[in-house]
Amino acid sequence: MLVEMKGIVREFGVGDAKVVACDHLDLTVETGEFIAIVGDSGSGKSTLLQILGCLDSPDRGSYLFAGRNVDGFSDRELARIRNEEIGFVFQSFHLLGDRNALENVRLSLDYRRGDPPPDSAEDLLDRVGLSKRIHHLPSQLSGGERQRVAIARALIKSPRLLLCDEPTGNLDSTSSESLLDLLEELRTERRITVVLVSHDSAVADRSDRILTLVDGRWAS
Amino acid sequence: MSPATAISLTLTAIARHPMRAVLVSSTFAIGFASVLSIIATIEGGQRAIKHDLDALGTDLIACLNPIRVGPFPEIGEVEEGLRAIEAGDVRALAEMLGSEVDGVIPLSVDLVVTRRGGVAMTHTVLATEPAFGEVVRSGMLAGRFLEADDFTRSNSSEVVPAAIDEALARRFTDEPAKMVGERISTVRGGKAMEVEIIGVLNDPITLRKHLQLLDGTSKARTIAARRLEFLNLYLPFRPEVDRCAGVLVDARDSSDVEALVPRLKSFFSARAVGPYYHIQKLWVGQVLSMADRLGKVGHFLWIVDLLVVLVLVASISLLAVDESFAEVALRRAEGATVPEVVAPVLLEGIFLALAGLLPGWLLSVVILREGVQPVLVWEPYLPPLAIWGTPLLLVVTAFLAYLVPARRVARLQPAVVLSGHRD
Repeated sequence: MLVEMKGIVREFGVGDAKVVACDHLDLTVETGEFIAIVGDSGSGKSTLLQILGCLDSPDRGSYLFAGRNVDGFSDRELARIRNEEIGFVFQSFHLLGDRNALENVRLSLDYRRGDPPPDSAEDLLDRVGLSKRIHHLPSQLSGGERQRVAIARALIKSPRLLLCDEPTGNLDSTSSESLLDLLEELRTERRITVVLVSHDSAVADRSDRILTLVDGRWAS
Repeated sequence: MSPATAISLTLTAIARHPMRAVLVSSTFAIGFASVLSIIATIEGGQRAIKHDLDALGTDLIACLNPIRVGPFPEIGEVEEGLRAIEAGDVRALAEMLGSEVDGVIPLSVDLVVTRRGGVAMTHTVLATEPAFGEVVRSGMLAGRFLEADDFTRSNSSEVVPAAIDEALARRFTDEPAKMVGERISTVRGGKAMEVEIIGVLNDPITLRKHLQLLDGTSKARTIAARRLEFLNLYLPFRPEVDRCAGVLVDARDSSDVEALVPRLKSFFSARAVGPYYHIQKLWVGQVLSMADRLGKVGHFLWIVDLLVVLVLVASISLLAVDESFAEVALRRAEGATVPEVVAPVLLEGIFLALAGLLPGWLLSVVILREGVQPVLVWEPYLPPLAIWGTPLLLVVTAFLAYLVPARRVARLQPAVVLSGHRD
């Protein structure tokens, strides 16, 4: 089991303004699984994804990642997990506008502490179909191409868990299909566990399991 | 992250934001230049004031007899039972003080009548020794001051070598410098003598003011004699002939004066000599104290200056960091620790400050040479401490200026920035 969450609670604000984004959530994810989390805006999807990605900490509950309880991890240990074991793909790509595709893919290598990654940035860009665009700036790429660069950037870590936050949210339907095909291929090829957040049921349908969040709780 | 990677990331950030880098570096350069200029101007001013005070005779102690000049009656009197300074006292004092002082200079003041061409002029004459030339700090316009050989010559020849004040020379000619080598006739004490001009002193306005001040603040001269304008002919002092008007003790430094005065008083008292003492140390102390206070104001000003640089740079860097929040958040998501995102921010500040040092130095040189020096006249001066201390302070300022944005980066929540919202 790669992920095991129990009783995760995450609240924001105080008093009357308090919002419970995650309300005693339990979640288990097996290695190699492809899970889609769906829900309306404000249901707590992104917050859960950030906790899964060790970008945020729960107020209560426990989170075991690959059998390790990350609750007591230091900033350095959390950074190492993000750097070597978890990849992120965001809706708005989050590519650095003044770096070309190759430099964007290499970004996490600045902070890598362990062994060098098995794949080179050039190979990964080739794998996502951008071998001829490696020196292009993000502004010179289409939306689908930018998201492919983001996927290559996530893959260079050789992650065990790939977290995708509305990865097709800014893409047209053709690009979305193409991207989902690529994710499917990579998951099979590399045995990567994928957790994807989307409000698009067509996207969620491509997953092994669909989990629905309503007001911070799993829908029964 | 290795230090090399941190430096590389910093240099990349600087290269990719040239306008920001230029603005910050320019702020450092201008701040550095202004701090250096303030320090150099004030330190230079203090030195100039001290130098000018020395030139006014602040390191001189005048021990004077009641002066009788020409026809004016003397009114000052030595105390009963005491006598006036004589040449023998001067010699004994010189032996006692030895190399502790720059000079022990006998002085004889008299009135003479000098004739050149059709012009006759009554003026003062000072008979003194070569060391007096060191006291007259205005220097020579032409020729030289009295030297040891002149004393031998004055005893063995009918022609007496003498230096002349530029102001006195101007009474005889429009070209004072050309008087060197000329012979003029002078009547001293009813006796005519021929004088050969060996040098013309630059208008010793400081000396004349000094002598007039001396008169005005002591009882050593009559009220009528105080009106005398000191336009001097300088003759060799003849101990066996000239009546001693007093002795000038030239201390090595104005700070030695206070310790010397009691010794002089004790020396003269032991010899039953009762001169008037003229010591400018008291008012000099006041002026030096003012100069010191000016220096303290200067320190306050350059600290304020550094604070202004700090605030300006902090503002610019804060804006720059705000602009790069998404990048910082992304780097955190990609595995950067807090120190790893903070280090390039601080390094950028230090690098840009260092980049501003040389232009700042050059700018300060221009400001001081073209702006300050021509206006204030005095030579700017940078103490050694300021030369290495100011750049160090500037780098510390840069560090502090970037500390605020760095803290902001450290507290940034990547999840909020990257998702743009919580749901």
